[in-house]
Amino acid sequence: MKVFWTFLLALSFILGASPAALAQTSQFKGWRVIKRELSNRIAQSGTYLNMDPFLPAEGLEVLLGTWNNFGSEHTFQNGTPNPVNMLILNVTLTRFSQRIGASCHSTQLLFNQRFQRSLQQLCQWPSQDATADAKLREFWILMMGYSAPESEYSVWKEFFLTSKYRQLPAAETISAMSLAIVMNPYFLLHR
Amino acid sequence: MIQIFLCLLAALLFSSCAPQKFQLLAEPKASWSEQKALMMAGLTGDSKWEKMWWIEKTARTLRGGVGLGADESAEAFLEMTEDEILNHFMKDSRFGDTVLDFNLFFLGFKPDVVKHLTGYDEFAFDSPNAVLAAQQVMLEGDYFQLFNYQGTYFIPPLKPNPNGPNSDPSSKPRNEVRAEIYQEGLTIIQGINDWALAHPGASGQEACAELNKSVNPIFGLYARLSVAFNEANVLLIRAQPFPTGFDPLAQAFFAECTNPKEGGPDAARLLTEMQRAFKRYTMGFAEIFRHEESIYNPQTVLEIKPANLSAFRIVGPWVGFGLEHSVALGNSSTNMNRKRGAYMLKHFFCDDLKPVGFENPGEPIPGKHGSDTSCYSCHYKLDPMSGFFKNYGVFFNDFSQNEFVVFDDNAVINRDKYFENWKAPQSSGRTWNVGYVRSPKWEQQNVYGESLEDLSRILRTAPEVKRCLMKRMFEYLVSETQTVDSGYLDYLTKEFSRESDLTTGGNSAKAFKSSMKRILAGETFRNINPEPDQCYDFPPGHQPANAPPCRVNFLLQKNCAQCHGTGEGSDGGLDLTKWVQTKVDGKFHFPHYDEMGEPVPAEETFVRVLDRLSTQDPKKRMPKNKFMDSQERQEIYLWVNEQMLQMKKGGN
Repeated sequence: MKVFWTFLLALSFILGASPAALAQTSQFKGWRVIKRELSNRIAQSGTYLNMDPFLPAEGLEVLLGTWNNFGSEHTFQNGTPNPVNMLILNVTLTRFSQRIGASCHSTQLLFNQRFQRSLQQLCQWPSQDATADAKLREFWILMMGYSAPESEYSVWKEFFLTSKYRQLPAAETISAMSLAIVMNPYFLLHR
Repeated sequence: MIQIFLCLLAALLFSSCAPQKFQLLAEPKASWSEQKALMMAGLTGDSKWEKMWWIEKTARTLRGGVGLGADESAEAFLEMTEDEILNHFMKDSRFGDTVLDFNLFFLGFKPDVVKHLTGYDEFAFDSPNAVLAAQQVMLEGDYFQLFNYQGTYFIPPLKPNPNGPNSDPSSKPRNEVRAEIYQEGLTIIQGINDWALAHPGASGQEACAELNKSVNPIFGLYARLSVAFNEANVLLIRAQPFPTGFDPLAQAFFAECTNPKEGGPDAARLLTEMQRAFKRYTMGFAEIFRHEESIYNPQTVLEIKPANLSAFRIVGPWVGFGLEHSVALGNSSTNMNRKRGAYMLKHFFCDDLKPVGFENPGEPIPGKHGSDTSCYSCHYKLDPMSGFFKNYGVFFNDFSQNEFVVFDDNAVINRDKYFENWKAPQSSGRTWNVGYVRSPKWEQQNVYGESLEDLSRILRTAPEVKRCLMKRMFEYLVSETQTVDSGYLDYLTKEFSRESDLTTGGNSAKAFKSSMKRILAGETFRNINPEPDQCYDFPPGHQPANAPPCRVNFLLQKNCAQCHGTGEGSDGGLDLTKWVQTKVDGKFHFPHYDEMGEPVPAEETFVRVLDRLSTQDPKKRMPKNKFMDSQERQEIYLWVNEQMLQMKKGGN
């Protein structure tokens, strides 16, 4: 069953892509921009989320796309998705998402009030109350903004309401929900 | 978790899952204004999500990367028209950060994030023209300050601990080190000053003996300077606030005391320099300490204040290239400033020096590269552009008052001999072969000058620079890899030129904002998944039917269609205004027929086009007896090459 849902979700992305769309050449936004955008959406006003410790090692952020390059003209480097930066992003953002999930039990990161409220409502998962569209939508928009089309939200919601996560504890589900948002290409890629 | 990752990986691989409903494409034959009306209609009613997507992207773009925050009411923006939204974001002080970031992008030195929570990135202060132009946009003044490379310097805030929280906690904060060095130097130089004041009748020998005590401690302080003043080190290198106090004194000491003239050391000179040194030292450091982060930490571009350069000993006007420029655009004794010239051509003229032949001037070409035509394809414009920097050696130091020039490779060359590289032939009527050379044959197309002021004047007036500015603006706001219709680019440029024209009451800052609005309200910006090789914005009145691909359509219309247009009279049987599918192989190409009325194979057409573009034979070179911009020639040439490559691969 799990394999079926995995296949179905992957297939939905594949079928949604037109052949010509494969030629798109978007690059990653870069680590600093990701940090700033997320902080602006969910961190306390005037602060940045302390996300650097989630990187597997110090200095790896330059492999996620950067303009900074002292001593020569600046061009955007390492921004094209490849196995290495995908792996670093996956490890880093998995750790970050786990902290969001763990925030149901104790304060992990300094969130703003609106996100804190949204998170606490989702922490009631898997109760019926936490599955309401308005609550899921609020959580999605706070993390993703409007960077992705509404159809992306619909697929995301559908997946968590119908997969094994429907019955799993809140911390685990919220981690997976957060990871699914921050690993979404609409979130990671420069547009 | 693995499942999620697999799904997301699939999503990434097919990241252009572009639901057609989000593309908001108008009918292909709709005019520009019709398309715009359709687009606007598409963003009202039930398309709240799509409009929010545009609003948030626009907010992020115009507020220095800061999108809609959790505490902002998105609903309020839905009530506003697009123009009101754009104006709202442009009035935000953070719009200044966007302009600054764009300026740095234009200049080729963009940082990841121009403003951090704590203040502006150090990179921003390295380009004073970028800061000035951003300020001017906010004040609706002269945006073309971007083209000024002389006059202003911004010292970045001097941080107590620039290495951040992860730096060695046991090391002493830099502001304390700075204060220590200053104090140690002050003690020495004040001692010298006090001694001079107390001994107005001292002999030269006595003054030398007094100074001799201070030589070693001063050299000790020099070594510690670069660590303490990392952020302002271009100032240390060029304006020399520390040596400002000590160097003239040191020169007097070595001249009078270590190798004294007949009659002994000049006491008056030594005593005067001993007192002057103290004044210079305290003035220079007072100006620097005004930039300690605890006192000075601008939070908007308008709060960035220029340094008072009169506090330092600077030769000539300050040159607006910072530390990083000095490293990136180093000038060796054999490079003849070509790196700097290439930088100017690339960033201000969008000319990355891809050689596609050149117009043969019809007479012997002097100089090192004149005999090699492939080299001369670039050097005819590169060398004259490099000449604007002939006075500037290592770290852009101005050697116009010296007999020599020092280079980044530590070589020293006689200045007059060095300048021979840019001497113009006597027949030209000019002293220097320095300028922006569009063509070695069509002399009237070229503009000449001598100094950085002249370069600034050329940048302000050259149409290529305005077009380049619009091109970079499109790349910055949309994507560097997105194809832009050259006719649309020309339309943007014309509007920008008209709105910035001072003679008709125009204003460059307002024109800059209008241009940004045009692009942000355009089809490409609002397309959630644009295809890189497609164009979505066109000039008003554009007729796309059967036209060649958008990348070259306008260029062909402009340069070739007069002779190779539609109809029986098209020269050589070639029509470069149409792009049609052949019945034989289904591939697209230009209609081309030989003298017998038989179709010419597409590959043959492309080979001939390439030859006519690159040949130096004036009988064959196209456009015949007409000037064609070298970058436009290059663009068509590259495109034809790509078409041939695709054809060989079986595509097109």
